[in-house]
Amino acid sequence: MSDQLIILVIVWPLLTGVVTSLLPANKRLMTLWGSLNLVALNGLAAALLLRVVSQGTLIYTVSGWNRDPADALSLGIELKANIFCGFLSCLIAAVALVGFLGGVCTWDRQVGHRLPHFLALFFLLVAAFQGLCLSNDAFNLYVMLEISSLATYGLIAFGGGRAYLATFHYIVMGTIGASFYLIGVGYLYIKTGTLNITDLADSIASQQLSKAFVLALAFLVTGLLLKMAVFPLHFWLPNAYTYAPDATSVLVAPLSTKLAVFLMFRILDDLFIGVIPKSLVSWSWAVVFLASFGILAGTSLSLAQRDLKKIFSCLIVAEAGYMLGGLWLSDSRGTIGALFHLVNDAVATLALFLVVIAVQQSVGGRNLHDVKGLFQRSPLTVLALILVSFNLIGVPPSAGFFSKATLLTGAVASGHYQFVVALLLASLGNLVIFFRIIEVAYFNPIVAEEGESALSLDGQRAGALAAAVAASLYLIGLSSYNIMETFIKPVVSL
Amino acid sequence: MNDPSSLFMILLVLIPLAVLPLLYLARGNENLRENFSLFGSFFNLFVVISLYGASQRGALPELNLGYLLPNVPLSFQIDSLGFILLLTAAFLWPLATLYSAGYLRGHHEKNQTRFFSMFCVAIAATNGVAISSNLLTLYVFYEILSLSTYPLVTHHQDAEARSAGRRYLAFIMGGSVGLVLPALITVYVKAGNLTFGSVGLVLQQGGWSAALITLAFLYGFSKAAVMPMHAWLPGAMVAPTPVSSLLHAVAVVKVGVFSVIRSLCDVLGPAFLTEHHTRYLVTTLCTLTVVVSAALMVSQDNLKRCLAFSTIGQLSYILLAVSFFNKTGITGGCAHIFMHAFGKITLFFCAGAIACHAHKKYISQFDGLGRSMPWTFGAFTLGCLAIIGLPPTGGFLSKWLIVTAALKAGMPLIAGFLLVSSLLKAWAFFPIIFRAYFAPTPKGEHLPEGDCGWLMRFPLLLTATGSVVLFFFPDPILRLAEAFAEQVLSRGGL
Amino acid sequence: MSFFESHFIYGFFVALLMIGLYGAIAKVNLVKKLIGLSIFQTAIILFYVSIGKKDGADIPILPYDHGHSGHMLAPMAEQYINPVPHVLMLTAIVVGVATVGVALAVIQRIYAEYGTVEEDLILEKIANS
Repeated sequence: MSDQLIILVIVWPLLTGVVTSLLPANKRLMTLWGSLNLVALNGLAAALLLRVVSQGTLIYTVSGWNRDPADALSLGIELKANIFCGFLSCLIAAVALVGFLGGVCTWDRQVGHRLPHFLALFFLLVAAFQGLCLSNDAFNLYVMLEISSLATYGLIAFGGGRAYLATFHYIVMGTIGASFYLIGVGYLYIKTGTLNITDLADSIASQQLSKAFVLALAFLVTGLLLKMAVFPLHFWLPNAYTYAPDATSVLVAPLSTKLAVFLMFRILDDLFIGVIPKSLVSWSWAVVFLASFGILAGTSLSLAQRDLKKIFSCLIVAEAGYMLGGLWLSDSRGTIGALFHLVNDAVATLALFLVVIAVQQSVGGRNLHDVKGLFQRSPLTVLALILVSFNLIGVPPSAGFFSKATLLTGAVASGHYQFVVALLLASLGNLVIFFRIIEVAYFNPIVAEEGESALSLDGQRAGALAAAVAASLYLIGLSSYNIMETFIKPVVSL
Repeated sequence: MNDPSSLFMILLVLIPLAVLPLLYLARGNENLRENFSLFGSFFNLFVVISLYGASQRGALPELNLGYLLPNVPLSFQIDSLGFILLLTAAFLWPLATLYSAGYLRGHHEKNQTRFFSMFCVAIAATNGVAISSNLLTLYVFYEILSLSTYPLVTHHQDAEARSAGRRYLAFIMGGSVGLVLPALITVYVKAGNLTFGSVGLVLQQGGWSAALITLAFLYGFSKAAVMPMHAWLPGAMVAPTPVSSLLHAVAVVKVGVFSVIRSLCDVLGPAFLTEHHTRYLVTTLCTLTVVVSAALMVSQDNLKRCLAFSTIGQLSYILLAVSFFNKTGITGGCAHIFMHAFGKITLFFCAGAIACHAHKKYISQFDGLGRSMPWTFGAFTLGCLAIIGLPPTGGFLSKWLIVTAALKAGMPLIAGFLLVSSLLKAWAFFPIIFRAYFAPTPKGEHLPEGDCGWLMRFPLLLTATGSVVLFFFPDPILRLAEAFAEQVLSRGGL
Repeated sequence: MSFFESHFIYGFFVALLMIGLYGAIAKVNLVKKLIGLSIFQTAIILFYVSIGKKDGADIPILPYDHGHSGHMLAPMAEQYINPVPHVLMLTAIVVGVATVGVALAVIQRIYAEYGTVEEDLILEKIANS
């Protein structure tokens, strides 16, 4: 039975989604139904992690096809959960649950009577994320990438108004990105005749690195750069995330680009093991340079915004640069740092977008000047904001500090000083970005005439949730060494 | 496993934090709240003294609370330099609490509970810095201190406080994130660990990188206010006076100097600094700061600004003395941390008492004030003597050692500069005293009846007495400083 | 077989790909963008399908087997073109159709919102509002 856990983690949210689309649009029913299923999903993911921790990597052949040792080709789809996949799967489940609960209070305002359809897409997206995390088949990964994108398009378009155009841009860029990935997979298939990632890696390692492989790598990487929204391929992201309904962005923003990062990790570290430091050193320099530039650009973009949600969306662009750079440093510490940053950033982004919900619910707007007096209205929201901001600035003992320190260690050890400079400047940029918000909340009290409107319970609840998520960053930070040693280091093969 | 007795150390961080919830619960009742603060401070003093007693019987065990980065644990150990900072904070915390109570009530400040809470956090962080046994642990508490003092600096929440807060953050966080963090990571990558006394950094190509790392520590710990990183300090004077005393005497600047001493003596080490000649860099920059700040001090009319510039100079005295790397120098410098704290806190207490009781902030308004506030100005005079370095105060002893050390190090010119700066200080302070005692009261000027209230008078008299007592019984402090000097020099290969 | 003959299909694929990419990025009309995108995806599908081609091979339908002993036929593999890419593309076509469907729906909503599908006019309207 426990062998089936891995497929259950994917199928459970998928089936939940199907059933959800048939249910009536009753908010209370939906909340109960959704949270029950997500709790179950969390249980399954936790069981999977336990199983992986106790018995090692779990490999599952979908629909039970036999891997015939005499037959060189493995045609069936394979799922694989190593220890980091298990961890990531738990993270996805947890973010989905918290994001779901945080989004409940925005349904009335932004989703309305189409709630079952919205949630069906929500669960479909969770299933696709789990699939991206667990699949061990290059083409299946493409399918999962596209399912996640399609679900995201729909979820974002629920925002209405300006969200439509943003969605369209996202569709164009997302499809181009996925298609590039698909071309890369095609090249690999021509050269090796297989799509299974383990077989592909063996085959690549045994052959000489021909131009076709290099081209395949180039296509895969370019496609994922688009999906990761690394500057200058980022422009679809800020608008899409900003105009999406809050209940969407709270799930999409923390996970979507992070899973593209995870795919990038799989390509560099599972498929082309050691190819970059051995044969393509100049690429490493180019991509790290791109990443450094992207970090600075993302931070500056964020500095120029006044809409809280857009500020945070632009930060995602910068954060993508951190992880991209870390992966391409060709140093194991860089890779470990990038993966840890992935975890940390998923949680931090979740907290940020929960803060957006809390601000929106407690002061009725999310512009910079709406935040004034937030200290009196919703101290928990401000607490959450402060805690996350410390994380993004890199104040110890938050998780952000340790991921940044590990990334910096890798960068210094591999001599990529431009990346060091970019990281530090971005930290200082984050200091400005967040203190600009906190200053408004702290120094500008509510004007008396505006009155102390009744504190909204929803806002308080979302604020409390955000504060709890933000506080968890410090737990992650304090156990960072153990997380890196237990869950990340074993899967990094550099 | 940790020695159970070492867990005692962590109380130093936990006691001030444990006071927080009590303060919050007692927020409605001022007297009860202040009693909790006082109770915490006395408990803290008790723990410090009993640890000091234990350390006289044998070295204290190390406490290791798990790893932060590979080879870098979250670990604590108290050496003699640590005790100097601990004792400084422990003695002055109860007095500062009493005084704050008097001052805040006298001024009818708002948000007093927030003030006392942040004060406690700052003390916890200071204790944490003092007991850290590696640079990363120190950095963690250093950052917590930086952020916990921000609400104190901006306590008034007006435009002036806002800009002072910005400047404070820009310099303090800019220094720690922009300079210390990369230097710390570089040392970690090159040397493999960050434990005080066993780092052993070796650089392949010395010269520039050695100079950069040294400067990064010297300027990055910008709480030490070496020019030009001093600019936040006079600006932070907008805060209520008890905050200024916390900034200038008890916690912030002393932690800055402490951190620089730690990084110079225990991380880079005398051998490194001598080999690459970067200790002369420290000597030069600090001498410059001493002279320039003394000159600037003379021209100030605002008493608190005048004291701020005096602090800047005194901090550089300490670093200057340490940079000689002879026994007298390190002893004198470290002892000066304690001696200066008592002198400077006296002066700030007096400045606050004058501002609170007589409502005068400018030196030019002090005519005849000494006759109506004899206690305050008596203490003020003693404080001035301690800062200038004249008997019968503790400041004389440490300054004597510092000047001797300069001569011993074969730098009579530096000794000359030190004397000139003392003269400048005398030139700045004596007219104030003279004016207060002997200048005729201007016509129509209403001088307050009697001296300030006992809640303020008692602490300032006590610290002034402390200054004098230190002149006659300096042994415990000098012994600690000497032990630290021996410890550093025995390692240094000088 | 000359280089041109054997690589002609790749040239065709790249040309189609570029036409599609150009359309998707450079066109101002959203529907034309979508058409470009479809061409782009179709090019990839053609590319994959061409991978399976073998000279003188037959369609991969086994005349006398019910699927129980497929591996027995492995030595005869060169007689059949490789079906795997085709199967993959069935999925890709589904994905492509879904994408186009979603995109068309979004374009419809854009038209309802702004009364036009020309991107520059839409941006103008957004800027003015």
